[in-house]
Amino acid sequence: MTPTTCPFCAVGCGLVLDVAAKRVVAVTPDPVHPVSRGQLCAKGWNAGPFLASPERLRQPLLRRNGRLQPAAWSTALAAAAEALAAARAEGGADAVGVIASARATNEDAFAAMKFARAVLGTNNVDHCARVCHAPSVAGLRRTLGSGAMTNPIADLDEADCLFVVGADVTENHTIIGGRILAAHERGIPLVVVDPRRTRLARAADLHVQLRLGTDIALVNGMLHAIFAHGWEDGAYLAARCENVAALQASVADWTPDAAARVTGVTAATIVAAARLYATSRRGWLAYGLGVTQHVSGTETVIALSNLALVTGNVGVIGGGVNPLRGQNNVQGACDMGALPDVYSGYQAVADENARRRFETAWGVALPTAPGRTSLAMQHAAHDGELKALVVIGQDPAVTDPGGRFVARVLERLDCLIVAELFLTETAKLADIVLPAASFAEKDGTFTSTERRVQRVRRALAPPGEARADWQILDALAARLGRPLGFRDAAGIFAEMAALTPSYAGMSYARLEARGGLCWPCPTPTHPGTPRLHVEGCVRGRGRLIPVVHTPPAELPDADYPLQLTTFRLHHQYGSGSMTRRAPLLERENPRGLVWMHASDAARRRIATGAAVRVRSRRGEVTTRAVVSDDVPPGVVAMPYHFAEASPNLVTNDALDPIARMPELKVCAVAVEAC
Amino acid sequence: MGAGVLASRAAVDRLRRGLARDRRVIEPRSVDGAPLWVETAGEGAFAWTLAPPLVGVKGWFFPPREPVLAWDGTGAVLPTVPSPDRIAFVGLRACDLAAIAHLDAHFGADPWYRTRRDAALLVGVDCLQACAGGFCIEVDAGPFARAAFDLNLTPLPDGRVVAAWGSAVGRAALADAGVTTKAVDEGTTLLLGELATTAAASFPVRSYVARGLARLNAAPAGAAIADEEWQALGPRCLACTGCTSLCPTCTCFTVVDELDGAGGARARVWDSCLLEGFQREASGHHPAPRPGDRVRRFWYHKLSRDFAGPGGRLGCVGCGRCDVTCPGTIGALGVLAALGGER
Repeated sequence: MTPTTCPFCAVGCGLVLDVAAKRVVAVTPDPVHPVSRGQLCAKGWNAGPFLASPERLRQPLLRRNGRLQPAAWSTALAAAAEALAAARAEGGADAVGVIASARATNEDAFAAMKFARAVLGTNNVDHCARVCHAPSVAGLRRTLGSGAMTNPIADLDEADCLFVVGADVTENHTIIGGRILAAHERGIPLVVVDPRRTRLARAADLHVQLRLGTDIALVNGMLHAIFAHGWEDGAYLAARCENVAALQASVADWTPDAAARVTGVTAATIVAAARLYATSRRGWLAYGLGVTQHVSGTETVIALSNLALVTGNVGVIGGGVNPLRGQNNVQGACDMGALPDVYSGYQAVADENARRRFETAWGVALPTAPGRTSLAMQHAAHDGELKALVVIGQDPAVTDPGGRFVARVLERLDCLIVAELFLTETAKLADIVLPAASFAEKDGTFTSTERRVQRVRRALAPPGEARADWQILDALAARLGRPLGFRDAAGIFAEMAALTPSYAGMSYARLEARGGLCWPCPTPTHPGTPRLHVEGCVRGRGRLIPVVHTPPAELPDADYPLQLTTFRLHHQYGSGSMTRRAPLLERENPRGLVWMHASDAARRRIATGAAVRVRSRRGEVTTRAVVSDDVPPGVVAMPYHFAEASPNLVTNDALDPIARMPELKVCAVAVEAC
Repeated sequence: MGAGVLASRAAVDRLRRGLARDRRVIEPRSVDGAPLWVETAGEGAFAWTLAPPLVGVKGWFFPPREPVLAWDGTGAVLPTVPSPDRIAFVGLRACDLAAIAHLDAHFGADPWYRTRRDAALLVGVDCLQACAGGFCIEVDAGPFARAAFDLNLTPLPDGRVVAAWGSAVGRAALADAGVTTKAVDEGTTLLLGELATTAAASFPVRSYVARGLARLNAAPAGAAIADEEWQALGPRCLACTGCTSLCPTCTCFTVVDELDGAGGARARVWDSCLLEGFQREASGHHPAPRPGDRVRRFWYHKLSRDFAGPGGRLGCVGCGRCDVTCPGTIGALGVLAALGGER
């Protein structure tokens, strides 16, 4: 019986793994876990089957004569080291890059960023936060001084109003979603802002079914109503915020009527949403990828921060601006500095003092200029400037936008090295594939969406010759003549904590207790910080920043008359490499993968189950239709778990100019029966 | 069947150590504050008052995954019926024993189940106090054990313990451990009755349970509960499979072929009738297409007399695990509260 942390979403539920005869025979909920309290979602309950799948990678693969063939570790590592050295010799240190994993442990992510910076000599390190919550990090750091969830999950039980924006919480963060449903049943008002009629939207007191990508107009209309009715928290604004007059002036023209014209919801609904949220004593605001995956993602995050600050909801029990992070450890991978511009704890690579601290600790000169983001690395590969790439536990060929572009640029690399559990679509393109250990086969830590750092415990040995990511990187570093010097996961955590003020007070000994610790935890006796900004914002005063509505980069027209948005299913996860190997989860897949409204379907003579083609300017995909009132007329929606019908063959890679986030949530498409 | 009185709880410790001589002894223990079934070798203090573990013992007899056919690719079929260790569960509560009686009736001569079950000796311990969330008393499953045990223990306030044996194996286990018993005298019988009365009185009043059960069981079947009531509960089911996994009487499985090169196995794995895919037909037709339909079916199977098992007992044994694990708050008490007009 090994208590550990769930490897799927970022809620951070407690699992117990029961192992017999070298196999996980049962996965059960941890009855005393402070977050999940004896509950799990379908993914958690079904976390066992993929571990024992015969398709797990058990030995390294090396491409010879065009085919991936089994190789010894020594051969594969030598080939990888040689390729990385050759790429650096030809194009300089920035001709190589590392994509870290938000699915692996903090220790793996720290090893990846150290490997990139101290061994390869480049800041070209990034991970999939780029395509989920990079705008949250960028936006909330500007307004509050910290890019993470401000309040704990448990605070939703203390709230007087729950305000959920662009998040399908019951499906994607099920244990939080259930808690929202329960709070709502106890009488706590629930407002849901979403273009789709989600389960929560159907339950809500108010569903604000706005047009795709019009959230800023909605929030500005709400702010207008709040100021007009005197619902703002004047004392809070005076004591704790700055730039109030500028914000108020900026929304002067955003009357509810003006906002209604852009958002497509009525002025009365906008005022009702403003009243429910602003006049409740404590409002717990949570949001998801419906906010961030837009060209206006960072500014939408800022708009939500404005809304929370104006109503006095930051730094209080039951309040907050709460981004619901996607992956089990996407918060941790960001915290560990698997980002091109910061070391662990968001210490900027451009900051000389921070750089010197890491140079001293690691005994090596580090690069000074920020590196490339994951998508910039793809473009650099396209342009021939990036020649070799190490990808750890990520499947950009399925999960990144832009049609076949990603696969083409990965193929163009001189060398693609992939560490994975399975031969994913990305791994199939690799020159060298290295078998990785799963969460159940290694020690480490995950950091959940509420900044909760929890232990991951080894319950069984990895299959075949598979190794933990940090061990793979350590071996590769040794081949390159600069070993990372790691002995075990606890040692990596200790090295990281010594260099990272927000984790400085944590150790494996302290993390033994269920539920771990929430950062910041600066000293060995500090109890951790479930709630941020209590004594004033991390940056000092909460900054109100006027933002204006920016339409999606691509709007429907005569050729592509529908808007496509993307979403996730409860029973699948990411590109499905783990969940699609669980028979009950795989059986639960819907009959079709594009949801459309009956009016749009009827016009095209499409019924549920009919074969359809979804086309955009970037590509096309064929799948089957689900006719449903989950989506409004004019909008179609696709989940992105399925490589055989990936919406990313048609999605737009137009970028948020601040966070470089692609606009995965909206593009123009045509749909026809086929 | 019969019963005797053990002089003290120390006699139970002798029994536990005696069982450990030729069996693995599994007992509830508090681990980091969580009651769990733990292998103890009969050592250490017995946890007389610990609440039943959230994860019961169903998986020992009916594992989440069990190969029922295996082959190695050379034409040979490999055996799959297990050779389980002899084990003893000590500390099963009435709810779990009632559930095992259901499993016994359901699986019958199923060789995988039967082999595991025959290797196990079951020792019950009566509950003198209601546990949080348990409602065994409302469904005639507890708090004192009624079924399935080899031995059942009722601790008395004066330190003595009444031991009832339900099988020859149970009675022999006492003798083998050198535990002597005295006859149950009239005073002890009266005391047992008082304890049962006190235990019954410790349950909170939940009048909605009887109301909900009455509506659900009104004739003709299903007539008393409007479709809308079930459809209102439907969206609360997030299809997590938690209730069916923890339910000690759920027995549905599906069959999965696991191919590994030339070899492989056909395994039965726990299924859940609350999943949409459980009953979806190849054509796409679905006999229970809406989540509310599936919620209705599940609770009808658990709470209707039409599906009563051994002793006429309902498929629900009142353990309350589904109420703990359901993110949508529609475990048994949650549903009965809705049907009984309490929510």
